[in-house]
Amino acid sequence: MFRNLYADTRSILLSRAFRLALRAIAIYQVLYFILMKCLYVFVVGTALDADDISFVFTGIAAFLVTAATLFITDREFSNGCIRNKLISGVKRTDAFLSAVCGGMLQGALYTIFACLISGIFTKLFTAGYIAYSVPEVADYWLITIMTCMAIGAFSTALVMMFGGNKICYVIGLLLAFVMKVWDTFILDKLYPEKGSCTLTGAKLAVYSFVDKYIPYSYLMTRPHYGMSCYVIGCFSMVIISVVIGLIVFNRREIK
Amino acid sequence: MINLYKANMKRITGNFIFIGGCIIAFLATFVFTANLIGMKGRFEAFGPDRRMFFISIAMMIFFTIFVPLYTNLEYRYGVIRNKITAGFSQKEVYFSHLFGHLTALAIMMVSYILGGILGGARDFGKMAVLSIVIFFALCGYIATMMLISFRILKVVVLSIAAFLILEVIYTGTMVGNALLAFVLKGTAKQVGIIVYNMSVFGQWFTGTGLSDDFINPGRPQQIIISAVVILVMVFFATLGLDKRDLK
Repeated sequence: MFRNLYADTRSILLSRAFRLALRAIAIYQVLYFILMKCLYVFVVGTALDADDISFVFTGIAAFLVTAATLFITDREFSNGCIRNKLISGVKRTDAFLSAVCGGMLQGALYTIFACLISGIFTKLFTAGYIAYSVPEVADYWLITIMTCMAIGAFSTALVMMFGGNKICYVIGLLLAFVMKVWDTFILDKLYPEKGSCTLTGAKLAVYSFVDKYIPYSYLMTRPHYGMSCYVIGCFSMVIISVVIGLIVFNRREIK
Repeated sequence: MINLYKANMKRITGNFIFIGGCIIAFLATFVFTANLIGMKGRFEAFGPDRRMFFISIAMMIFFTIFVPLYTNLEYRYGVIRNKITAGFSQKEVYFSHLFGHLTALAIMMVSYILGGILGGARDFGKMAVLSIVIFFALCGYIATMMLISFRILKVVVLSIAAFLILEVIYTGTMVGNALLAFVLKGTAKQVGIIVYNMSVFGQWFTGTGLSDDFINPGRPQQIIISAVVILVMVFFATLGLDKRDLK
């Protein structure tokens, strides 16, 4: 198990896709910073607030983590890698768990990298936080790391379950996009700009559940529940992905 | 090329994803237009005609999945090489796919319009205009998907690129709404309106009435913008296509 995990981790860290994802994060944050800086200089006329640039990574996190894990995990199926592993004595369960751990590792590393860039920009080019205290900033990043790990685990589990099938190329990315659009709608309904929430009954229960326990929605707005909700949401997503993934992966025929 | 187009249409109309998409287009439009799910507030106030147009954006998501996955089959099992060996050029293969997908869009639009009419949409004049606008906008989007589908051979990279375009268009439209409302002025605003209307999301927003009125440059202008997008995408997709080496 650990030898396979070590090999998978090494393969991820040395892969071109991993470095490409890190570069994409850096470029996105730099471009966003330049845009906001220009906006503040030419339109607002005041110093740039850290609040406006610090958590920009959350806007692309779901897509980026899903795309990167899809690309890296799909290699297992595209050149017979997974078959070779199984032939050489690696158990299916070990191969699956190792891949999921790799997905979670990717989610964590991308977020930590984004956090570092954000920290540097905040320290060097902004007037500091206006609406966040230091513990709130730390909480936000911690929740983002947990969320990206959960999404990484989920996305990797999907590829392992449907690997080699066309559906694995679209299902994770489609889900990331649909959840983004749906969460925008949910937030608009739960926290309307004018007046109070008018939802009742089953709709209120469903929307509140999604807002509270589905990790994709944690990336849409700043944390507004207790840490326990976010831990439960992320932990549940990982457990569900692993359990269902193991059941499907252990029974399927690998192409 | 006619033979390639006919073969494509035979495959597309027998494809279970496409058939499922048409059925979903019909059912979803019917359910939304008739408001069978009991939506309240803004969606209830929309009325059947605007609710019908609101759901039309789902076709964009469908073609984000369908065009890359279907077209990429050309590069598997030596399909495109066999066609070239049989005397067809790569441009002919490209156009047969493009026209195939545009025809598929027209078929799906028919399902969508039928669902809307049965669901209670009655303003046929407005429905016709908006349907033509969204049809051309989706043609532009399909041409964009065809561009990447013919240039990116690896299916996993292609899927990521397709969804990246979808995400960029969605986010760009949201940012565009804010920029056009509060930041851009004068000529920059006019250019911003044209850029905003180059995407399906932009034109869809103006059709639903969720964006400011000044963002809509007029329906004929929107169709012209979509036509320019189609031409540009076809130009880039076919640029040097016949000279390309195939592995």
